[in-house]
Amino acid sequence: MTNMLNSLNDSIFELGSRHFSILFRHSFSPCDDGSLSLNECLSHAGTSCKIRQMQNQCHERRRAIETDAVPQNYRQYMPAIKFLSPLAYVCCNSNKSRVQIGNLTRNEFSPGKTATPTSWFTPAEFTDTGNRQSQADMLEGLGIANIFLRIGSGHSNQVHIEHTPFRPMV
Amino acid sequence: MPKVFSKPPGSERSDTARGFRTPQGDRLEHTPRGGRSDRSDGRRGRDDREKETRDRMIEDAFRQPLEIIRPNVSAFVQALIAVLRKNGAVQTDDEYAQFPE
Repeated sequence: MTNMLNSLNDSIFELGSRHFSILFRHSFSPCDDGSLSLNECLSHAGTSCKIRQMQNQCHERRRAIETDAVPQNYRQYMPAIKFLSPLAYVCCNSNKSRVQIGNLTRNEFSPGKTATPTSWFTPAEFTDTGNRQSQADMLEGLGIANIFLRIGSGHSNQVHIEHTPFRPMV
Repeated sequence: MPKVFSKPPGSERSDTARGFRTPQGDRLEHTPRGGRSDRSDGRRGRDDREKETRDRMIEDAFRQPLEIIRPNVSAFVQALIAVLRKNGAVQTDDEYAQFPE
């Protein structure tokens, strides 16, 4: 049961998550490899709007990023970090096996290039603390120049969003 | 009983070809909703022309230089790291009770 825990016990997050499934699965917006870079997502009006909606309406806890947790040289980006934290939650805590994150390092970057095929990974499950720490360490050490998302949907594979068992009775 | 009924008015564009039967007299309305690849009952597939395509803005965003995209990418990477490290999801009902609906 514990591996079903996730932070998507929030209707706003579910709607946001669903938006990404539709965007990636039922549109021709993604590149050939099925990915969109962060910059492309933010340039897409509906997606930008959905991230803002999640940011405005989700639980306080999902918006909260402690300043102390952010390295000094990135604190200048705190407003952007807080704005993008709901998207990070959808990617890391949605308990969807279908979210993948890819990247280009500074050495590999050139405009109009998609993620290195070997860089794709799926965020570890919420309860897999060890793997999540390793993934965080990896992201920290890579020197990432561009980041990409690939999100499948329940239409292409059997995925069920499981709520935490503590969802209050309605 | 005729093998083929005429279509009811207004059903020309409907998903299900109502009233049709096979030459053997079987009704076709039990075709799975997902459809079969040959679509022998005449239902229309999803029209790709209605799907959103890559517009100019997305294409331009794809080709932005590093200096333009770096702030947002750095911020998102830091957000991912923070979320992966803090595991800030609701785990107990006491924690859940801290947040109003």
